[in-house]
Amino acid sequence: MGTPYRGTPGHEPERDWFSPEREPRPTRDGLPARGGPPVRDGAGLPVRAGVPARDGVSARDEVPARDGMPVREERPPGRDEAPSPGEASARSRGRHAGSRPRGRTALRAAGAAGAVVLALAASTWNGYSVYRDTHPPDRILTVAAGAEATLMRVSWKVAVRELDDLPGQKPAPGRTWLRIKVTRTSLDAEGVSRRGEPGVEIRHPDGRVWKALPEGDDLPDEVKDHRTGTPYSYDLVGMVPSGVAGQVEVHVRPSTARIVEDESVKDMFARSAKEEIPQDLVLRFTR
Amino acid sequence: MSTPVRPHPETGPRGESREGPGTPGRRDGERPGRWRAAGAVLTGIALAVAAVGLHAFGADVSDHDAPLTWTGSVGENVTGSRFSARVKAVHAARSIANASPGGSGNSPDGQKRVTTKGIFVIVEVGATATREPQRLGAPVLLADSGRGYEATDRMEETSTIVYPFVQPGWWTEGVAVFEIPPRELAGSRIVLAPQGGLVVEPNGPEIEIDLGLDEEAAKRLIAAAKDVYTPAGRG
Repeated sequence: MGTPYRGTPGHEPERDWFSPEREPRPTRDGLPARGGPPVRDGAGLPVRAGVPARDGVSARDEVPARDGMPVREERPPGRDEAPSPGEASARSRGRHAGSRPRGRTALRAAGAAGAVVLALAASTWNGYSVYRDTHPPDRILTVAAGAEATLMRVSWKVAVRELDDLPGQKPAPGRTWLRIKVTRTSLDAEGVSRRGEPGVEIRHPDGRVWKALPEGDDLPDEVKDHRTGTPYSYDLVGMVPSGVAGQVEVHVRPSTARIVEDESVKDMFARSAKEEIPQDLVLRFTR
Repeated sequence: MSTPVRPHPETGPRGESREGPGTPGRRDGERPGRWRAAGAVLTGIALAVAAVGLHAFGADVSDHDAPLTWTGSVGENVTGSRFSARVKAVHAARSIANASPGGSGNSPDGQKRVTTKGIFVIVEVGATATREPQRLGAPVLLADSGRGYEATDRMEETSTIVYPFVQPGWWTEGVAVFEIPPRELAGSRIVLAPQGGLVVEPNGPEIEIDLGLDEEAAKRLIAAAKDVYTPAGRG
């Protein structure tokens, strides 16, 4: 073809590559819009009714169009204002080669960049929301040094002892052993039902965490021996760098399990469906 | 009624050019248009080649969730996002004498000896955590052939690096023991990563340390292999 694609003309700024070609509509007075579609110019393309079309058809020659298909009669070319092909292309280049196509290129580039940013942001947000669902942020209740704290009808207390050596363990220079005693006292039967083992960890305010390994507890094996108002304790041991041994704090996450004796499975499900237990409560014992 | 009606001034390949009133049609068979068309074709070909190339050689779906790898060499402290690791030394052995507390082993001194048709590679590794205590998952030895060997389960786990907690503030030392064919030793790398949970974590951290063994060094290491490796007590 002798007419390579030369970009969209500038006077239809809202159209881009992706838009379908618009069908011209007849104007209100029944005349076709300028440049009815099926009639092509001299590029050797199909022409309606076997009549070759030319520029500058006047209304007199026009048959009112049906369905956007105007029919024109032939007119000798060159009698009106239609310029020669070379002049036309020169003029259109002069008009359109300037700022408009460049602005549109910038718009497309910005759109592409925006799409990339949006795609990355969406996947990052998705990953973060999954992380947040699986790692909900804790609600931390700070407890003054040496004080007790009550949560879910259980009173909690923590004592920490620093040791340089632990019998039966290899000496570890630069590190200090911590013996941690976590004491719980059930205030009533509801507190007794919350006797699951708590999670304990050693934390520094800078965010570092150390493991506290359980060594045992003196909780009664039988529930009937578990008395309200009597303190029972868990013994744990941990190791931290000696430099921070005086600064670390013990975080206790009481178990949210509610163990009710002689409860049928049916009752248990019925109860747990009603209960709303906060899973994210942590007691922070300052020292 | 004299609405001038203009036919299509130009129909390009997309058939979308339409000029406004007073704007004459555009026609060209001149040079700039041709160059532009050639440029467009070349750009199209280049894009197609790039797309095919990316599909063939670029990251694929399985890479999307692959771990983030930090690399280093023997003797170097390699710091990853959640933990750091180092390799102190590499040894080889033909058998391992596991401590057998009950004394019910197959050798008289209360040890349980395991042997191999290949070779045991003992890598002395150390690790420390950045913020949170963690355990390492089973180390993997990546061979030059592309095969990966997971640490042997024929070794007492309590003697290896996967048993103790890796905590912030100090280095936890241990060994990783692999049972591999001797020819796989040259060019191998050890890969360490935190123990995975129930949910597989996409893009978790891992540290890959090149053991620095070329063909010669691997041969020497195998030649110097001890008959029996006795794990140190757990510490």
